[in-house]
Amino acid sequence: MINSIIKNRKVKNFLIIIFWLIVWEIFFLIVNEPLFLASPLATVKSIFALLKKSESWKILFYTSGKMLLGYFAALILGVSAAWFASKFLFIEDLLKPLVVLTKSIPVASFIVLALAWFSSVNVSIFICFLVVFPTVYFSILAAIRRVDIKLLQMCQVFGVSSSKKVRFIFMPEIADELCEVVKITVGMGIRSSIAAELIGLPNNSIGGELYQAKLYLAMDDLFAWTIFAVVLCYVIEKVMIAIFTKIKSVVQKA
Amino acid sequence: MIKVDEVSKSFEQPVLKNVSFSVNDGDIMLISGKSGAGKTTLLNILMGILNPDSGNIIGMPTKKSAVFQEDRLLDNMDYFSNMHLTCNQSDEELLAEFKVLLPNEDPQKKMKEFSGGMRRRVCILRAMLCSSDVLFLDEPFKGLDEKTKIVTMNYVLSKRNGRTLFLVTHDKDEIAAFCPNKNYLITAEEN
Repeated sequence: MINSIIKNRKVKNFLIIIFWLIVWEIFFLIVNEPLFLASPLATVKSIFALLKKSESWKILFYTSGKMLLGYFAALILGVSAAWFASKFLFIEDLLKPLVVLTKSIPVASFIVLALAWFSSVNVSIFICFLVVFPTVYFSILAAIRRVDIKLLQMCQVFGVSSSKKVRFIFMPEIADELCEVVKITVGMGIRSSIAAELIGLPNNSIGGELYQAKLYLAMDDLFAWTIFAVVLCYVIEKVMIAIFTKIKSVVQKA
Repeated sequence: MIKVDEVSKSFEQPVLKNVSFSVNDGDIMLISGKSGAGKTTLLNILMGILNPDSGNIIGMPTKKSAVFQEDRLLDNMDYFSNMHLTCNQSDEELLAEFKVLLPNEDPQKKMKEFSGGMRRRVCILRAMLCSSDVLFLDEPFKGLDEKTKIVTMNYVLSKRNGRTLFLVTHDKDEIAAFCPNKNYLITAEEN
């Protein structure tokens, strides 16, 4: 019977969460110092207390909104750049040093640099863009290159138009890859946006709230905002995957 | 008239050496020969997928359709999407043709769920229903059982509509059906 309960995926996930909450509670009891580690109960209380404040919703809205702005800019420009790079080798060569450099420079350097260029309010948009763009670019370029040359030859023989090739051959490949890219990059985007906020300290930001929590040693608030960031990441990832899957099926059936 | 003039092609070794022939519009040209003799290479050059090292092809129509040796279908899409890529027929017309060659199958299943023989028939439908002036069929009935092969061969003959046809085959039944007098046979054995 226990085996059949565990085989149910939802029950299994619930049990896994309970297990880690118990581990957390045990650590809390061992540390026994709320200034270093918040208890699960205190964190839940803090979450509900924050959810009651309209200010918290505003913070969630601003942080996720700015992150999404940077994220969509990275998706659109990343896919476009990959498309042109796949068609013109010189564009790939031209972009390569820039993208490789962007990928390897520490995010903190960019944040400090961006703070000199923009107001702290917009830094998280720019940082999210910089962190996500290289992964989108390289993944989509690889996906375009993976398209079966034999299918393209078939299109050449049948005289298939470029728009049909994009719709039936490239779009499904790109949409599939975007679903995978989203799984990797949404978390990257949220983490880097919040890191930028933590350094830039704009008003109405999760990063700013984390800084406040650290300043006042309010570990329950710090844990609560961290959980908000995790939930935000999960929701955005699921919504994005649903959007790309829908786009793929609509394009194919249109 | 399509004229092939002194066409040669080498990869690591020479595959085609100074191949010349001509085909009148609407004729059937059979290309036969042992494996590795260069039949598919010749077909790929005629289709424009490969460039010859030397020689010319004159008078090749621009509107072509083909059954390749491999299926070259969109595996994650259904019959209709595969056909819409190359053809302009309505779903109703496409369904009617599908039912001729695959009467008991579901056209909305993804191609990867189709067996080899079913996929082959979809390739044949794609080539025959596409608006073209010349057809290239590279071992089109490979993998079909005898009964299905006869039905499919008759379908190809009925849907050819006077288009020039290049057919690669080893099969005696196919040669008999498409070129009963062997008037148009190129034996690619000697290149």
